[in-house]
Amino acid sequence: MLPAAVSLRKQGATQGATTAFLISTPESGVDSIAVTWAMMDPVMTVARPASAFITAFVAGVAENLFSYRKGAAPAIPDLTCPVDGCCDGVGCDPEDHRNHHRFTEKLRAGLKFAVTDLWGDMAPWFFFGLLLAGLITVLVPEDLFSRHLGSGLPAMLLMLAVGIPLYICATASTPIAAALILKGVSPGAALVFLLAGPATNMASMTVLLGTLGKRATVIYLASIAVCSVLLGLAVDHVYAVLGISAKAAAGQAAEVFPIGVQWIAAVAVVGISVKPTVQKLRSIIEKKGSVAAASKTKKESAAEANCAPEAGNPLSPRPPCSGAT
Amino acid sequence: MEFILKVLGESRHLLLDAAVYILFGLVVSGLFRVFLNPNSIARHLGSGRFSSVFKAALIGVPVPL
Repeated sequence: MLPAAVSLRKQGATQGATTAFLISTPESGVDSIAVTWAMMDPVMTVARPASAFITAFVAGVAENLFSYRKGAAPAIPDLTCPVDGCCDGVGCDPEDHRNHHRFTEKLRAGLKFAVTDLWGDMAPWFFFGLLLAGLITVLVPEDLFSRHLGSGLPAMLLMLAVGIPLYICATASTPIAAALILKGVSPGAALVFLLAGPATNMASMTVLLGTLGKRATVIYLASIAVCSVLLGLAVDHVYAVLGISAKAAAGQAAEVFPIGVQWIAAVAVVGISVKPTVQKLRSIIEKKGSVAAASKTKKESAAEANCAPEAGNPLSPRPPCSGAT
Repeated sequence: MEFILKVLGESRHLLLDAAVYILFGLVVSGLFRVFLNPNSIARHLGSGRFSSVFKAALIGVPVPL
C-alpha cells in the first residue's frame, strides 16, 4: 500500500491526491466490497466504499489547501511491464507495449500477482481476524453492547480508539465488524471501525511522518477521525430511516451459494493461505529472536535509521518500513 | 477444549460465508493489475487542487492494496 502511494507522489501526484489515495485504497477495494456483501448487508456494502471515498476526498482537499502549488513537476508514470518486467516501457510505442504478451499470459500473471502478492500479504491477517471474530461471537454476551454502548457518539469514539492503532486490512476487519454487529454494536459504530482500522496503524503513521511531514500527518489523522464518526452517525440514521436492522441482515448473502460451493471455495482459500501464513509466523518468531539480540547491542538506533527519510529525497521508498499493505 | 472448538466453529462459519467472495475479489484484483494503464492514472493526478484529489480518492476505492 504505502509503496504504491509513495510512487504516486514521485510520479508527480499532488500531496492531496497522494493523501486521498493513501486513505481510500486501504479502506476499500473490490475484495473487501465482495466480502462485505457476503458478511453484512447491502447498506453496508454501499456505505463502506462511499465513506472511504468521502473521507479520502476531505483529507486530500484539506491537505491541498495547505500545500498546493501550481506548476509542479509533470508526472512520469512507471510503465514497466506488469507481466514479467521484460521492458520498462520508456521509448516503447504504447500499442506495441500493450501487445508484448498474449491475453492468457497477462491473465495468468494477474492471477499469480493476486494470489501470491495480494493475498500473501493479507492471508495471515485475515485468519487472525476470523479467529478474533469467532472469539467475539463466543465470548461476548448477546446484549452487552446493545444495553451499554451499542450506538451513538460514545460507541463511535470507542471504535475509533480501537481502530486507529490497530493494524488490519479492509478484508480482515470485515468478519470482526460482522461479529460486533451481531452482538448489538450499531452499524454506524462498526463502520467507524471499518474505516479507521485499515486506514491507520502505528507503522504507517511513522512512515507518513517521515514522507509527508508532521502537519500532513495531523491533517490525515484528524480527517479520518472526524469523517468516520460523522459517517458512522449518518449510517445509523440511514438504518433508522429505512427501518431495517443490520443485525437481521448480517450473514444473509451467504445463502446465495450452495454449501458445496462454499466448501470448495473455503478449501481453496485455505490452500492459498497456508504458505504465506506459515512464512509470516516464522518471520515473527525470527524477528522476536533477532530483536532480542539486537536490543543488547544497538537498541533502537537501527530501526530509526531504517525509517528516517533521506535528506533531499524524502519520498524515496524505504522497504524496511513500507511493508504495510 | 469445548471453548476452543466453539470459537473455531464460529470462525469456520465466517470463512464459509466469505470464501467465494474472497476468490472473486482476488480474480478482479489480478485483472486490474495487468489491464489498467499506469500512464493514464499518473496523468490525471498531477494537477488540480480538487480534481486530482477527487480522481485519486475515486481510483483508491476499487484498488485492493
